[in-house]
Amino acid sequence: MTSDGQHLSGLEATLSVSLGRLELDAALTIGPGEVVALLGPNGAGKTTFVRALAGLESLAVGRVVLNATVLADTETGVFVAPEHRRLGVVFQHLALFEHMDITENVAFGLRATGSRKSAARDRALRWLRTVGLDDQASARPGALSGGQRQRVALARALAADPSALLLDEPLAALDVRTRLDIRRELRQHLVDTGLPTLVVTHDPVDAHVLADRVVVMEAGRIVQHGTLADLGAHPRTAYVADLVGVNLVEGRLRGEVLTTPAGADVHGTRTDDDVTTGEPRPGLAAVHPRAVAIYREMPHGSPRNCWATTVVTVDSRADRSRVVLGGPLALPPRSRPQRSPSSICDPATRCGPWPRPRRCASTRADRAGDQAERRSLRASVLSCMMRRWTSGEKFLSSST
Amino acid sequence: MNRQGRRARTIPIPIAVLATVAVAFFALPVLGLMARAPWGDVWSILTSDSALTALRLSLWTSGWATVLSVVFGVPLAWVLARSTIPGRAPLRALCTLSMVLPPVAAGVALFAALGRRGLVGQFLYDWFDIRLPFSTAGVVLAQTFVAMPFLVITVDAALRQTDTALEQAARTLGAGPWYTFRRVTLPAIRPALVAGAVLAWARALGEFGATITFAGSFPGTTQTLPLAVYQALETEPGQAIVLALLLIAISFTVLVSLRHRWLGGGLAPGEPAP
Repeated sequence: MTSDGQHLSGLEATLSVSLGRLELDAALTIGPGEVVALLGPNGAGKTTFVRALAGLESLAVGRVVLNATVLADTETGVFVAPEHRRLGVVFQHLALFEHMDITENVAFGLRATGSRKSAARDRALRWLRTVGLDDQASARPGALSGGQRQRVALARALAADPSALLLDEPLAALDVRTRLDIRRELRQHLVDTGLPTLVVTHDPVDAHVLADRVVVMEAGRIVQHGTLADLGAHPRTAYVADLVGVNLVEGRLRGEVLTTPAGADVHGTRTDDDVTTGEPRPGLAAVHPRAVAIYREMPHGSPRNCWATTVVTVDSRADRSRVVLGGPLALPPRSRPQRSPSSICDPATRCGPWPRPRRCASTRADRAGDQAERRSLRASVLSCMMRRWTSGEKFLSSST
Repeated sequence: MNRQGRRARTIPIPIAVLATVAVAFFALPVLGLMARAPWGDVWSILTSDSALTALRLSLWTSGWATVLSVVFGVPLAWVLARSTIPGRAPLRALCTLSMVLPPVAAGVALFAALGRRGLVGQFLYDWFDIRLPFSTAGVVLAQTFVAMPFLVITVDAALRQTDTALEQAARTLGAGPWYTFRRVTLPAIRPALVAGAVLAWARALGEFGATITFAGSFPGTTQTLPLAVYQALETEPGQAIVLALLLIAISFTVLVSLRHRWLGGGLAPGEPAP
């Protein structure tokens, strides 16, 4: 925590970086004490973004400001070296110093900036106590479990007294059980330190637990930001829809009816104001799994959206099942919106076979019906949100 | 490597035959030396004045050559491995040239540069009255010239293998480049550094061609152990054999100890250097 209280404006960054095939071009602001999660598929540029903030990648164009101190500005030629940025970084693979014990690891930042050995040691031990590792103070990192190593990495970053924190996939290397514990602890530490923090992750649960706000990056661009609830209500790309578990159906939109290429009409509510009934325009319907019900016979009542469907697969989890539906309204959709930046992600090499059932309609298992009688089922969509999709659309233009 | 070795138990017959020939080729000269060695006189030969003088000089000069190799070789390896200066490939070739250069040619080259009429040597002599050829310092220079590349190559490979994330983590924690080098980079490459230093030392200890060309063979000042072996061969073959065995024993010990302790991860499994 810094002493210059009048300038606690948080972290602001606008930057472009070219690195191999990746063209990163993104802007981000993190308020004082705010925790922002940076979500995105592999190769989206999340790590590069963090490295650029930390001064480990050179900027093509851009500006990074931390609490009113300019860390980098390509216009004025300012470039503060990584060691003077006061940004605590927890690296994806932690990068612990294996030749030192964990006290020396945590004391490293203090020693590097000129603290006396005993003073640095005392503070390191205090941080180790904070993360619950004081009984292992003289252990080498190699002797610790994944969760303990994670704690050392966090203590090491915090002990150097940073003004902001950058955590690159802090929980990715942990097993499920440890992940839960460390996630909760991490949340507590982030609250306690009150630093502006950027958490890179590809797990929406991490984002939900740790962050106040979510920023989604795809192919080097920020495609959407807001709370997870905002994202769930109005997913703007197939990736975001996948992330929040919503089906994004592509088709042509006219009034409040979206027609899929397979010929299914989806009725819904427009999220934009354009309810003209002129020429059909390309559009999207967000179909939430909760809104989908499956029946063996034609349902009673008068649901507007009802199709004969085929259950392609049922993927059972502990208390719920994911059902992939075929037919005129395939859920999740077999084809993905073409303009989506996620198409940069080469389907053949990165995403596996395409089209491939991914996150999909989830219903109660008993509704999926007897597996032997899968055919001739009916799916009913009770509600969906729709909006127009034009090729020139700017994703961030209406982000409020 | 170990696992593969354990899995492939059967050795194809042609390979077994040829490999046996190769082993014999290396083992026979040692066996020959041992068969011909005057075992009764070993102690008196080893403790003779001439042998002790040569041994002392060899240890002294090869020790200094190792120190010089480390002091200048590590920074050179860092530049080769980490910097982005243009022309690193030809630079690396230049700095490791003396590994493949005939040592006599190296000696002649040193003469041309550092001899009394050499490119730099003339100024050293005229201005500072420093004469490098035919001096103990000249021996150290000749040994360093041929030995340093072994250290450079080993450390260069280790530097290129170490994870730069460690150094970057150190930087984000507030450590400057020099502090990072001392506290993070150097400890990370220490096994390779020790291996390289020991290899360089062994090479310096065995140096012959460049030394005899550049520094001559004067007992007490420039006659190192290999030179003493060469000279003794003409007059006292028994002494030559014993001293040769001593050199072999030292080199063998060095290689065996390196294999077990230092070459585990630092280098590609196989020979320590080309």
